[in-house]
Amino acid sequence: MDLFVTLSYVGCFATVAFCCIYTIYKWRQPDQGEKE
Amino acid sequence: MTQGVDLAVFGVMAAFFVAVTLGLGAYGYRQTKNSSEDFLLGRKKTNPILIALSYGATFLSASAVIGFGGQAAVHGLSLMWLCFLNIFVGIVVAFLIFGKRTRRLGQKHSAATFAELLGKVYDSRFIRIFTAVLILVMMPIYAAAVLKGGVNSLAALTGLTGFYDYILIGLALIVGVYVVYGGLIAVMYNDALQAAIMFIGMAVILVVTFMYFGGVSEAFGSLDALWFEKVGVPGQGVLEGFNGWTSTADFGSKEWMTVFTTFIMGVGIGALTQPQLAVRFMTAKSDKDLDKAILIGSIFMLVIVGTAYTVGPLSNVFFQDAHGMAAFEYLNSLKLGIDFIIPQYILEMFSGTTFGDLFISLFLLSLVCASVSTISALMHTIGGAGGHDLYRTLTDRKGRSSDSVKTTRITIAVMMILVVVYCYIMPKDIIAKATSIFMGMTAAALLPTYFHALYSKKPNRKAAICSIAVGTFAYLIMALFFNTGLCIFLPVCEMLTGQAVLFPDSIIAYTDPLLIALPLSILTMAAVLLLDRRSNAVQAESGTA
Repeated sequence: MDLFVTLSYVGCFATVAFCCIYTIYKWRQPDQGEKE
Repeated sequence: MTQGVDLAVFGVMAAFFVAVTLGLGAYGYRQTKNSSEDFLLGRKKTNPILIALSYGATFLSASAVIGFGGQAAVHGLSLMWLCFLNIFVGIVVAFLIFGKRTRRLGQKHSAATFAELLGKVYDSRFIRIFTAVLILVMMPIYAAAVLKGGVNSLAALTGLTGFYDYILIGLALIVGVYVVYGGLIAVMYNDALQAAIMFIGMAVILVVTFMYFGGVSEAFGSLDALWFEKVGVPGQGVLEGFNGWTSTADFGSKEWMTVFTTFIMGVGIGALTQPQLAVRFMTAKSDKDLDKAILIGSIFMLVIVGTAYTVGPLSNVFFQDAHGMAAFEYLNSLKLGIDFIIPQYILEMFSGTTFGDLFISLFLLSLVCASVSTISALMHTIGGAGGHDLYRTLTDRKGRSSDSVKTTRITIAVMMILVVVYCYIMPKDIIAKATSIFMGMTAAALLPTYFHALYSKKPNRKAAICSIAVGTFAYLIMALFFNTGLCIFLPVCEMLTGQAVLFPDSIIAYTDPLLIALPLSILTMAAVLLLDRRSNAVQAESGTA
């Protein structure tokens, strides 16, 4: 598998990891009401 | 197809699925209460898990699994970049950059559809009508491609090709009934059910594939070896510049242009302006619910798309071992197209194994779910565009919303019939291309306008209309006269000049129209905004003088 294809897999897993961290971070934040 | 699925096992699964689907349709009907807001947006307090699953199931159709999975078998693992874009652009950018503001603006303007949102933000009847017409013209083509993909697989895998017409009409009828009666509530609950089935089905396929090869690295090693030791020559149904299934094509070659501009860019970026997806954001109660949805959405996307684009290329090794031919070559020998590579692989891989019939039935049900979830969302959006946007705008009706529900339901029923007719007149191997053309067209026409609507304090109507006009015109010209893959939809160039496209051997013939049309659309918007600002400044100066 060449580097460019390998990077696509790395990108996929890194993005899911980001989503995981972001969701946990946001979940732990108290509700600040609706912003307009 | 060489073998068929066990009809008894699949029949039981399908009967249970249809019963639950119609049950959820009835639940949606009871909750909708004949108001257009309920019918088009549900209760606007949808659970984040439901939003994520509905968004994912709507986004990914049979097109992603068998259409693009089949293309991955031909073009190789480079298509994993589309998986990356599906997660990064389709989930992260869509939810965080577009989703939250779409939800807030939708609530502020009391918009129930994507066209209504744009029309109200710009205070423009033209933009609302144009968006609705674009949906009514282009979306049925996409819906037909998705329906055709699902029915093709269903007929081929069950061996019931003689009953093709009945399967097509039956599937259209089931979708039509629950969308017409249940509205968005029925659509989203069904999406969640279908997403769960798709997730289990695709996860099983990925695990069994890696088990067959003896592990992850062994699987990719076999694919490497197949190209470098056995095949190693062009001519496996791919274009010039192809370097094997585990390597990227030569930069700028026909193969590279097709894979990266049509499949990866066209679909990856086009996802941002999907009216049926934007509506999902408007159903959320708060921004926080959208934040919570991205984790489930990203995992769902990774498993479904990642499996299809990984298993597709690996099927080449399987077919080489079993028949001495690569996937494309083998399917060609069976007189079947690229769209059948993944179904054929599943059929042969699981046949004769323990619980093989169960897994084949599960995969088949996953395909049906993938098709049905997308078609239902598309039909619901088409109904909203016709019955809510066009009908209300053209007749200047602001009164009873039950009128709008009635016209929306009638539009869905009529367009469902049109979609079935399209299925009969569409060429084969069209699923991935029809997806690309719909997503590309909406992005070229509406992406700058949508972004400007979300992020500008004073959205500029003139700039939006100019950008829409240039984006649409440029995309149509490129698709009809220059691109070899897309000109098949409407062979205008052939009728006028006698040849399919104007420059058949040049690189432009393999360049996706979006690559030209979207920058033009963005530049037009920027230029008009700049000119407008200057003329306002001049007017202000002359006023003060």
